[in-house]
Amino acid sequence: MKRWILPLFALLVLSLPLQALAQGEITGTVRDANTQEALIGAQVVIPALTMGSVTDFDGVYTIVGVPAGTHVVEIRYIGYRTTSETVDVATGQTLTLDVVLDESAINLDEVVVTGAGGPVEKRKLGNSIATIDASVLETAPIQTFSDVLQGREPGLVGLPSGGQTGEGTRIRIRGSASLSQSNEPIVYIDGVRANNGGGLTFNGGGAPSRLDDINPESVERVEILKGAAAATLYGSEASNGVIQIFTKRGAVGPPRFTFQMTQSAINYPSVYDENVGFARNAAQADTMARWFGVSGLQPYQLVTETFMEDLYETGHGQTYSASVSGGSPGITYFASLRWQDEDGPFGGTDRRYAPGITTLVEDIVKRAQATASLNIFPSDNLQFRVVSGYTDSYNQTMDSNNNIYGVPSLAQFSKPELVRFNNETGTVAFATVNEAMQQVLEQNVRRYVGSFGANYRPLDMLTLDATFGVDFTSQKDTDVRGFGWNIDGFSGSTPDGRRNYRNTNNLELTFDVKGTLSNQITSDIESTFLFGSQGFISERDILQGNGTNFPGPGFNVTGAAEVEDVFESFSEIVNVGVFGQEQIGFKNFLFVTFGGRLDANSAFGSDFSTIFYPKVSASFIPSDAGFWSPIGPISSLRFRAAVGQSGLQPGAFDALTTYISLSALGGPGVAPDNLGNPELQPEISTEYEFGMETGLFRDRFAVEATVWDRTVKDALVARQFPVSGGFRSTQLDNIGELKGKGLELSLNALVLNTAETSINLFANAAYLWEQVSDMGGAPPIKVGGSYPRYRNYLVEGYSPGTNFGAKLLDVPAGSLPVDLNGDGSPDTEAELLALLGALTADDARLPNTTSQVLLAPDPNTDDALSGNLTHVLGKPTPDWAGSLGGSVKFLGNFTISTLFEYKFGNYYVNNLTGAFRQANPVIGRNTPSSAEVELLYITGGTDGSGTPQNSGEVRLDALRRWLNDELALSPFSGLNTIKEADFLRWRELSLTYNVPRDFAQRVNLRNLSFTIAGRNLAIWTKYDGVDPELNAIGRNGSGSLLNQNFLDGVEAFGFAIPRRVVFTMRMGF
Amino acid sequence: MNRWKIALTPLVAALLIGVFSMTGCDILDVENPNNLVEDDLGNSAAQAPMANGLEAATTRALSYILAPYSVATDECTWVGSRDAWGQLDSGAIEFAGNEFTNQAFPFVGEARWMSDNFKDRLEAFQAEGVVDTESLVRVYLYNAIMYTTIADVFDDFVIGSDRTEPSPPVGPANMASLYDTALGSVNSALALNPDDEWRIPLLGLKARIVYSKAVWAKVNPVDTGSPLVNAGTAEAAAALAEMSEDYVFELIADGGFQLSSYMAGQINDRLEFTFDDTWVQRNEAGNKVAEVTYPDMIDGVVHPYLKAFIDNFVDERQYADLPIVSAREMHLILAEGALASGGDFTTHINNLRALDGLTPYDGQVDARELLEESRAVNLFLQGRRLADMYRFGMTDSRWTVNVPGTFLPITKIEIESNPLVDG
Repeated sequence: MKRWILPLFALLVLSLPLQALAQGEITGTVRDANTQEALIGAQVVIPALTMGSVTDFDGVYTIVGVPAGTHVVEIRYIGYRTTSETVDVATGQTLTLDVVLDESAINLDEVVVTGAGGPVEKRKLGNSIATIDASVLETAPIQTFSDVLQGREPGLVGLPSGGQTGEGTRIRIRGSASLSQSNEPIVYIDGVRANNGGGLTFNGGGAPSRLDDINPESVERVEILKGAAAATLYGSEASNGVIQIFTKRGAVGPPRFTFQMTQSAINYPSVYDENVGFARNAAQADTMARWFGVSGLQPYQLVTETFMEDLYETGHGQTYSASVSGGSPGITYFASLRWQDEDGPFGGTDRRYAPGITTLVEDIVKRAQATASLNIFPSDNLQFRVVSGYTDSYNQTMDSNNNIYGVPSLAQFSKPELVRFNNETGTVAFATVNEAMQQVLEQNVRRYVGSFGANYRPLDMLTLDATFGVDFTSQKDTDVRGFGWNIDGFSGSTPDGRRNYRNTNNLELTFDVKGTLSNQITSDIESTFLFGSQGFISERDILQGNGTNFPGPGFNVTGAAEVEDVFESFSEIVNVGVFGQEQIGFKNFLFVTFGGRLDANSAFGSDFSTIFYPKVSASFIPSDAGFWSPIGPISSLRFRAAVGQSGLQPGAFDALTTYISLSALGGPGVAPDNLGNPELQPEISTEYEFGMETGLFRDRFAVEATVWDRTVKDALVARQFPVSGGFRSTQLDNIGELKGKGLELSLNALVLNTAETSINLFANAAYLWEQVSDMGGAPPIKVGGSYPRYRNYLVEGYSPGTNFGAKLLDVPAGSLPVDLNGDGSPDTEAELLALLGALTADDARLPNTTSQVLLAPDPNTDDALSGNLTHVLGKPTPDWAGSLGGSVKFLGNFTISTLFEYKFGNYYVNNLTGAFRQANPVIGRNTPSSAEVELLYITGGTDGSGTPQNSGEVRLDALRRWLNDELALSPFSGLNTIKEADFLRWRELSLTYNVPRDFAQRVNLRNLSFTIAGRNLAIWTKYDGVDPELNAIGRNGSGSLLNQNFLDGVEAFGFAIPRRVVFTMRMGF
Repeated sequence: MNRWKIALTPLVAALLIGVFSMTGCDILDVENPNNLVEDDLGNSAAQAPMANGLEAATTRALSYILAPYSVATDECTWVGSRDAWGQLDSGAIEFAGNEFTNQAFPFVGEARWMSDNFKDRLEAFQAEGVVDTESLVRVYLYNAIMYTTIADVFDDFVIGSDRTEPSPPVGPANMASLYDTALGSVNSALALNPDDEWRIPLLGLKARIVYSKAVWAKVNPVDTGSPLVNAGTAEAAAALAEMSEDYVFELIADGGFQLSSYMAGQINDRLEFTFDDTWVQRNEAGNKVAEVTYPDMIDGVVHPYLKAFIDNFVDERQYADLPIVSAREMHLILAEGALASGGDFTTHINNLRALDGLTPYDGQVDARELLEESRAVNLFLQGRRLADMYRFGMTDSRWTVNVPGTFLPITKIEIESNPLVDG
């Protein structure tokens, strides 16, 4: 590489233009062409001279020291069409150039940084790069950074997982690029690699995302690289895309203050099936009558209770935030503070407690966030930047999701007929709801993100830039059951209490040094050469302690417990890479970029050293070429193509054969742990991307389309070797192949724009197709291990996470897929009528064994899956996902904005909540329909006084309903469980009133606005469960990476996504 | 233009490449303090840790595999939420996809492999003259326990796989050969002249192995016509001669070293299954033991040993220990041998009854029924019940689909990952 740098450099230097000495000045204002509003922060540049200025708060700019002569001045502003003017500047003259800009729905001149090595206009990049401008989200109902990302960009999906206060969102970009490693995109904050984890350690549900540590009001913009074609320069970690967050900076001027206050009301929707049951005998009926206050209750009479919704309350939350920014020519600053607290919509205080007992657990989140940035410019060609952010957060929540001690799970298991003095909802097993609310989960997080950067321009053509940063997170999770937590004397688990804690210290160190040489080689050809090195050290240090059996109440430290256990682990990954890239531009309408990155990583096997990831891309903008003549309404047109590679390294110690400690009475011992694989290398993702952007009607309509195609080769498969060989755990092996392709479309329309009224609309859609194309001979992988209720698999030839399960046997008309008479063949309706009519309430029990209910056989005996639970039941990722919405400004000062999000097409969710509640003979059959089916089957209908009628027809009808709607769970896993889940959700709606400026100024405010907004207001869905967006595993909730990746679309006893109404007051002065 | 500025860029580039290549080697070599690597097991100081790890793995494997086994018998019954226990309870034992059998199988595979691999490693130390004899004795003992248990509770198993290399199944017809392997290990251990601490359980285990192999022949295929065996009596008598009166050798679970019993956790903590109504009265919610009720068939009083065993099992929460060899079992082997051969059944069974202060037997009930009951009670939850139920022609009231003679299968996780096992 070194050999050709020097001649190239010399060539570039020699073509430098000579500076002129005679100088003048250009000044003026930049305004919106329609509204005549001054545009703040517009760039006015003379590209040929690499000089320019930025408009101030009044839209005024000045460029000093302009050489005398004729120049082309370009005026750019995000959201507006770039325009250029030719001017003649005379020596000593101050030329006035006022400009108006037209709004534009297409923005090829937007400057981006991520993945490009340095600031560059989008037009020059052959890959797609998405940007989210936080300023346009100011009025949206946003509480966390996850809300900033949710539903903005086609191809980026936010998966909320659950509606517990503080619960975080999983992020997926273009599906899954790995079968075994984390599919969360990597996150950078101002160039510093950030902790992109999450989780609560001791519960799957309610798990926070570390992305939500970021103060959403400190964010200026977000750039998103969607895959390998764009992210090559990030090397061995970027297959799933990159999200880079840029925090706000100050601008030259007097101090400017902002203050914002929000108040929220939050409530859970009424989406849970009631708990329905009936007494089997008179004694049971008497007990139920007494506890539920139903006088004269008879056996076999349905009783309906709302144990889940009894736990609701109206939650409330508030945020206060303030910022100051400003600066003088040598220094600019920005600082902000934010406080957020919320007591969510989980209450539980209305429950009937034993006297003197109160509920312990609450749903609370509190976050204090501070950010500051300083930019120092000692000279024109030198800049230092210092950015720091600190977050202190606290979260308290309850056990939930697929957890037998979960509050919502126990409430939903509850059967009215089991009510008793010490079991007020009639839970069947494990614990009462009241006991479950004595368990408290807490998380305390302290996090610092800081960076120091320097930018030095020794020559006009050469820029050197360095960033060093740190992200340190200290996270403490606790899970406490106090002494005597089983207040109803029901639960058998750790009655003397238990405390688990885990301290996780996560350190990410980043260095990034690079240089950019840019030059105009000829008047038509420009060159930008980038070179640099980037690396990170990622350290995780975990200390966990568990203590069980306290000597008495009041103790709440693990050291006080009888049985104590400590666990400690340390892992470190070091990655070092060098990269280079050359970008050639021709006449500002054709750009070609090629480059690559060479990486070494500590997680690679000992037989493997470095890897090189190449990339090539091209961007062609015919509408900016000299030969362009407009075609119909097309005002801008660009085509782009890119191909690139990036990777994903294995886990820190996956390459090593290791033994773990395992102690016995005899003393400390060892046992097999990791099988090891010295040949381990990163999996390599190759992505092709083709796209076009077009602006129509003077760029008032913009259409963008991108198709992409990704192949992950040498995919790391967590392969199970025969467990009889001694090593139980799976071993990563580079044997797989994973394919994905997709289409991303977006449409932006500036329908109308006047001083009083404007209408902007947008819609986007992303199509996703994925397939596990090769497992390298490894057996199919079932997500969730041997647990039969999770049906997601990794199987060759199917989309990752596809559900497989049972189907009923196809039988001739007039028969049912049951064999109740034991003759070995399906029973006819006539046979069943005779048989069912002869039953009594004492012996009529719904059939639930595979000898009674007949299942369809293995649909494909030649494939990798065997048995009758291998029917394809649908995939958990939709074909199409996207959003649509818009904003309308009216009466000058009012704005309504809205956002809808949707998913549809071959989209299925495992309604495990329903499966349990429909079918489980012990903890279920308590939904309105399943309780009724059971009642009708047992009684064969009842008369007015609740006496069973033993009608064969009634039982036959109930049996049909049982088979076709209710029967589920093992050994019928998947049956009546995996449901279509297409939905359209009304995610955001806001109405803002901007107080007229002259009025605001009278009270010495720069601006003042009020917003009322709603979030998750409504959902329209085919799904018959609680909420299709719920998921059992949550945000890195628990379990293996495999579960975090592909235990997808599994709804299991979570809290529904709540509705939120937010009132906001915002002022600036 | 300054000359130094021109020279700067290639210098920086060279520096960056240099940083990478120079620091690359060291900086990429990260520490892993969490684990031991393969080479460390070649150190002779690793012998005791290997024996200890194997002890723990054996305890863990038994506590996992005896859970589905015991639910399948009439010892335990399902009272929780996970249906696969219900399938076992109904007698569906052969289903390779049962989540609990499938979950237990890897632990058994692991302990079996460790017992052979660590035996080889310690025998290599022995050849080098640096063996820690007690550790080798223990490795032989746990190896014998694993082989005996596998032969007792499985219809078929895979022996001989090593790490990524698969082996074919032993085959249902050849499972009795595992008892021979177990016996070989016991004899190798005894040849090292161990202290009484290890010699006595080895002697008892030897009797158990010889006896169990004979029982295996009575349930493969099931022979209810002549179910009694007369085997292992000489070994049992030899062991008894050295055992204290109510001697028992157990694998120990304890919170002090964080080794819990999976089966005890499911019974006492999670309340997923509990003891069958045959033996206990359950609480009102039906998921815990209220009291042990099973009466001795002669005295009619609650059987003292069963009561003590279950009460202790419940008190220990998830740390209940696992009996492996006991003086009680030696008496039972001798009693059955006598009954089968027309010998002195009464003396042997009364030696056992005397341990609990029960009235001596002198023909009050049928001798075989008393033997059956005595085995059920004195070997409760030890993984012997299914074979006894089959050969004595008993059924569990919850069985709806059981095929007599069926034991646990090679499970799905092994079938899918081992190309030499047929689905």
